[in-house]
Amino acid sequence: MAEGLSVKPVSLDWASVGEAEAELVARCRTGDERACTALVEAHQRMVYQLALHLLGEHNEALDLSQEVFLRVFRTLHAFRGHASLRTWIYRIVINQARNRQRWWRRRKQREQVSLDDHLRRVGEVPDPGRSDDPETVVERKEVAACVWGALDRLPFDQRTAIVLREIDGLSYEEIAYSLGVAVGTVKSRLARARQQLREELRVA
Amino acid sequence: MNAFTCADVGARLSAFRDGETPVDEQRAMRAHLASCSACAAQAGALESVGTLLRASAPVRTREQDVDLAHLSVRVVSQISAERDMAWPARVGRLFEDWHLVWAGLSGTTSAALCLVLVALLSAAVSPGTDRNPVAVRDAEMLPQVLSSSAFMPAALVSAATQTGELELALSGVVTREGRLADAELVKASFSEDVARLMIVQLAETRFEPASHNGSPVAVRVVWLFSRTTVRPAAPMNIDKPGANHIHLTADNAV
Ligand SMILES: [Zn+2]
Repeated sequence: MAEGLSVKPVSLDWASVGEAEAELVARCRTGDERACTALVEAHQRMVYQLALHLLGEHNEALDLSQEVFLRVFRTLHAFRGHASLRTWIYRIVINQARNRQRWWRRRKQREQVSLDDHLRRVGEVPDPGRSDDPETVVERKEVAACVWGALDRLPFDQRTAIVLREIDGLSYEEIAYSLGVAVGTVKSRLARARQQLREELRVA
Repeated sequence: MNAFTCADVGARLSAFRDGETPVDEQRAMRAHLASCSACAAQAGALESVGTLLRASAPVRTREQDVDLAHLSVRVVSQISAERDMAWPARVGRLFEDWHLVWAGLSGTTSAALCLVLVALLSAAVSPGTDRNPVAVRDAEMLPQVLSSSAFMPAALVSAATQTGELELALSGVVTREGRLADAELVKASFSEDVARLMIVQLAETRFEPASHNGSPVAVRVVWLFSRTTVRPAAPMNIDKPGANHIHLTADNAV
């Protein structure tokens, strides 16, 4: 444990980001299709990735991403710039995913998920580029499937908090806004999520 | 500050790892972790969980990237279609909203008629101008009526006095030549015959076209007629493709 762990997301110059963002939003509000396309393209990867983490399946995540952007444009008039556009979109992703995962989870539980199924659903496991050794590859895939299973068993809000923190690198304040809860709640949810993951994954 | 116990540290480890511990506690945390191997191991375990999560995050496959590439096309075309479809409905809702406002202010209404103009700069009907529409910022940009008598046909006034109620929303485009095109009845609280008469009369009306940067531009206009003299004071915005910052103004009241 070192000071180096106190990593906060590196932010760009907020003033200029804000200005460019405000201009893009203003153009989208007028129905400028090129601006709308630019907005989708700027955020689609992060939306899809988060949806995939929260729902655990490619087609579901893709479908959710589409819903999220439709909602973004339908409610863009309500965006006041009190959060960055990115955080505002995160919030929409989470709300949509929360609504959807109730029935999605029930459906998924009825199915037995094999490793191959898992990989077909979520895509490929990252390749650190070290080795082509098939055994290592298989092992890594198994570990990844384990991690995903453990993540999947967390309550939705804990899973969301840990994904936003560890994978998307959001600050507590941004996570709090995205989840619509207080910063203190984020803190305790993260602590609990980590504890449970530790136990499930038997990380000593 | 007092030294932290193992329990103090354990309760703060997760936030400390995220750099979200208050500054005054950070030093005590570091001091304890440097001297307590049990807590340091706990911290290491949290670190490992994070590493595992990031290492297991799926990377997108080529198929997924292809699907994603179509996302913006699907979204943007659907949103554009919705906006086009929603236009009359939105005007209808706007009208209902104002109706409520007026109803709330009924104590101050009179039998006089009030004309409300909603002008929307429409890119589609102003060929040769930038696709990005310009905001209507003040009343000078609105088309001005050259023959204002046409706005209050006798039939309309008598309809108002007979029914005691009058609400009408008409939509149309005032072209750069100052003529009315695409006139459409959005909503009327009375006989459609009267409304049609209104459209005929409006079609004969000549306008001084709206102008932007000194050039005449085509604008989409909605006329809201209501049996009231109450003037909406604040400008209001509604969403519309090719429109932005719409002013409701009663300045052209007859
Ligand atoms: Zn200790």
